[in-house]
Amino acid sequence: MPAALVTTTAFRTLADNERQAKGVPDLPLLMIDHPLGGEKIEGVTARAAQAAQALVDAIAAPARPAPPPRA
Amino acid sequence: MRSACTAISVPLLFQAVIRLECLAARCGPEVAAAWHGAPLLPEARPKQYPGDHTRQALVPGDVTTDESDEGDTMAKIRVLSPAGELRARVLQAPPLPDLRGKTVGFIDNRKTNFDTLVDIMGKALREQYGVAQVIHRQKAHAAVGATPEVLAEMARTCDLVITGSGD
Repeated sequence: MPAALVTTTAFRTLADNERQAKGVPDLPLLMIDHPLGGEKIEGVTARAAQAAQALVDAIAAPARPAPPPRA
Repeated sequence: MRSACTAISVPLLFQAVIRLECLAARCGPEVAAAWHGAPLLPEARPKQYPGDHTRQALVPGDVTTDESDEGDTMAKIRVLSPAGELRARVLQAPPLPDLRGKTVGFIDNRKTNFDTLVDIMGKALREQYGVAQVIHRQKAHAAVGATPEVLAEMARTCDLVITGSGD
């Protein structure tokens, strides 16, 4: 099933490391400004728009080569 | 089979990310080292930094003192990377051609404002991008994965699943 991960900019490196560590390096990241918690509704709304656009961009991105079959 | 593999990998990724957030961003490298099973040697004692009576090393077995320079005593702590080991690449599902008519699922990590983000983003996906349905499910709390029931529901009903990490 297609999947994506919403994360904030402060956790980008951690998200990249975890994608690699879990064997899903191409899992789309929907990056939003940090932080999300503590933001007022205007800030959350702006981040929701960022995430939605990132999702659309990820879908529009050229398809990557298929991964090699598992042993 | 392909759907099941990817559906399982996402919550596992999320659990690991949350653990590492707590360790690296909040607790500090000493706790991260302890989480990785750093040995706690009974004969070693925590060291305090010179002139600092508030900080103590929490991993006694990993603390040494360098007194090579006269009058300069510096504690050394071995810090382990919380990144972990690389795993074999797992099968990933092909990307969606578009969002029109699709069902999008959100697994809410219950961090502050993520529920609001889901509400706003879900509305935008429906109204602007033609998504047919949005399913919003919450985990018990941020430190645990989604329940098998939620994962099964997502795998059965959704075309795309989005989860969250971070604050």
